[in-house]
Amino acid sequence: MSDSPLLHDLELDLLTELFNIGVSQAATSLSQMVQQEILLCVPRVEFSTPQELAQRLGQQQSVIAISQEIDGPFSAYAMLLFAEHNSLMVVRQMLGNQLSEETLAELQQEALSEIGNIVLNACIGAISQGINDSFDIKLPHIKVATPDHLFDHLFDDFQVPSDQETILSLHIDMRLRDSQITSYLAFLLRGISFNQLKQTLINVLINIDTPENKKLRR
Amino acid sequence: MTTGGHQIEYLPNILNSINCGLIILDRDEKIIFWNHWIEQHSIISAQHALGKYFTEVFFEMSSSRVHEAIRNTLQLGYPSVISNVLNRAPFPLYSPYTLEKTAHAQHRIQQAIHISPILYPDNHRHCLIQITDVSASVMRERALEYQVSERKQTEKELNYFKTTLDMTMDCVFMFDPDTLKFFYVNQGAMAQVGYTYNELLNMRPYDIKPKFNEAAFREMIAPMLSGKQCSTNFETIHQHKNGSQIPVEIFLQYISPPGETPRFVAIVRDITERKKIDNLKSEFISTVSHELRTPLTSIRGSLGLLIGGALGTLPQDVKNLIDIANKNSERLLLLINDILDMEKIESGNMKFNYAVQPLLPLIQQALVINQAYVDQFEIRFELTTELNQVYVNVDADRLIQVLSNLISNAAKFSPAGSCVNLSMAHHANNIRVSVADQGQGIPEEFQHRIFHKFSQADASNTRQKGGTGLGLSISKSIIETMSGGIGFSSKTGAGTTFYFDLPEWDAPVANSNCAIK
Amino acid sequence: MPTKGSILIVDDSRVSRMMTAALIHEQRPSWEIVEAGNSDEALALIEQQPVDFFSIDFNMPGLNGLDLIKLVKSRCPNAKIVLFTANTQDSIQRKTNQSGAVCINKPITKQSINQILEFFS
Repeated sequence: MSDSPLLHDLELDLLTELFNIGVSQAATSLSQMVQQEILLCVPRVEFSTPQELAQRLGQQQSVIAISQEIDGPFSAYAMLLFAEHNSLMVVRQMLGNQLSEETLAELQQEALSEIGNIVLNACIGAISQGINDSFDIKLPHIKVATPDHLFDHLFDDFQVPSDQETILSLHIDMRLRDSQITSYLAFLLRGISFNQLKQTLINVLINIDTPENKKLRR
Repeated sequence: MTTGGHQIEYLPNILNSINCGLIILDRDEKIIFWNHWIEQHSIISAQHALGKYFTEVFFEMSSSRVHEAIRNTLQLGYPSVISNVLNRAPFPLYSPYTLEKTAHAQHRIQQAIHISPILYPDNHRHCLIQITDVSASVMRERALEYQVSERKQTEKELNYFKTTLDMTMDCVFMFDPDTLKFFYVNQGAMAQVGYTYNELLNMRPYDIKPKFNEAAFREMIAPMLSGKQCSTNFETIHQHKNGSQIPVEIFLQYISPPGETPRFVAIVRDITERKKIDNLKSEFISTVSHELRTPLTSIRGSLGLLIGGALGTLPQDVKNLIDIANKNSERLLLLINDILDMEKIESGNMKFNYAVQPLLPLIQQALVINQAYVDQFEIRFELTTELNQVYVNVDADRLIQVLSNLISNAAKFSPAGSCVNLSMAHHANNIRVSVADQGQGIPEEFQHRIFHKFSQADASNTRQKGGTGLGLSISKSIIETMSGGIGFSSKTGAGTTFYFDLPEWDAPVANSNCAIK
Repeated sequence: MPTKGSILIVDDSRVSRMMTAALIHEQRPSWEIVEAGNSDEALALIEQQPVDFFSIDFNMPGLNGLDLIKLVKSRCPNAKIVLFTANTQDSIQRKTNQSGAVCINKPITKQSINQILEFFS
């Protein structure tokens, strides 16, 4: 698993904090919507290749991905990923009723879109606020695929050579009423976008008024 | 919006013809576009809506999720999805086809909403609200859910019965009436014969019954298929996969409910234990009877000699006492013989020597044998028939035993001086022999038990009429063994007729196979 | 407004501690600022020295912020404690108030830090 060499410890730390804030805000919104306590937390941020992430998602399962294209200080596809059977459970738990277990019908897919939209908006919002900049966000798309096919074509659009395909991924623990569900947040960054991300993080860190920084600035 | 000139002019027309709602708000949340669909579904005209604030027109929605999303869009440029499942019907919109004057919250259309930012040429963000009516989808999903839960409920009930049937310790076999292949066997059945479910589904009942081949089995079930019978009870042997044999009793039913495929259902009971007990009982009876018979024969022998005058003439009062002793020991002997006969018949050990022979001589013989006995009751017997030579396939001695039983009963229960009529006639494909007396008739309460063992109308009768109470039971068994049937008709005060039917046979031709007519 | 005071910042994110410390130092240059990365470190620290104010993050490995608040309250009953977290659902707020502390919303900005300092005075 390739992570630390790409971002410095502090940069990763900052990113993790920003995501935690975003995800907590999303939890508050979701919680208000369904009058239930929902806890979301992000243990850590990692960088991986599409293959590594696919492996972590599990080979056979079908995965639901809600993705929003974002553009700003860096560009990316932001995605919220659930294993298909987990996704149904999320909707069911939030509604507290007995939906049919069989498949994800169109209306349930849309509900997941909304949940994805809330989480992604909150995370992008927290990052925006943290780096003091803003992003353009498009409406979410929903897709069902097996992990190995999840990122097909997306990197094509970015024209990224295959050895530079990097995904910034976070594992999100969702604690709902009776269950704990794992989902993933994945940011597919275009090649140069990765550097842009790194730069924006560094800018934030430098501007914190720590004694070391003050010395550096002089 | 960088399309050609004409198209921009047509844009409002297009937007007003589409089948979903479109509202555009400016950066202050004022309504600057309100399409036709929204007019129709909100009952608010564009004239009234344009230029007003969103919260003026939709006053109950000011602290709603939709309003929050609108603010996010205008301030931060974020798009929002407001799904139906999590929000149901935020806007007060109603179907134009079923509008009631006072639109009730319950009648709102189910909505799915998308809210997104649009950058206007003046570089200010505007907010586009798109609303779709998803009521049809919601109804479909609810119907589907209902079907699924119904199906689950049905499956659950079905499963309940199936597991009950699977696990009851009775052995249940079901097979198809045409192919005779098993299509269901329960756990008990599999345990009994030692085959697996899959193996049995390829087998037929006669595959596990050494006493039956296909032809014999089909013959047995034929009356049920043709509707003459709906069930049958029989004993046979089941052969286990490992070769061991199990005596069983089978209750076989043909079930054909209307609208369903018909099937055979067999409930099989292992009667090994019962057979053991029966065998023990038989042996016991046999042994005891033999043990009783030996001394009894000696007693009779001695008494007989005395009566015969072997020791000279006896004084009358001595003779009387010896007479009583003799008669009673004879009675005892008859009882023991009857009990032994009964046991032989029940255990299948009674030997029959069949021969095709004319029936009339046998009846005549029976009358002669019983003449002396009958005379003591002062009864006259007459034999009437219109038949010529008719033949039956019977064991002569046993048939005479049956006739003797009926004749002696008729004599016992007839008033003195009356006449008992014996007749022989055709009855369906059989020959019926009837013995009709003019006695008191059989009381109704007693009629159903008349062929049962040890049954006599009442205790007092026994003393008067004598007899062991086994006669009719033995006669029934004998006639049935000879493929016949026995019965009676009786009316209180008007006499009783006992009859038996036997299949009629062709006269025997030397060296040929005899056949039933 | 107390010019002297000591504050313990408990947060598993180093960047968060840095940012919080920097913003507090800006407003309260004379205060002593100490940091701890988790509950164990925090408890060890207060054994060694008295602390007047606490800013505690909720989501931490080991003991979470709420549980830590209870322990700190029992050791330093007069201390003023803030639960500084992005997670401000009703249930969390309620539990914080029950423990005698207050819940302040992250992100870490001048405004949120001012809110904290207001509570401390």
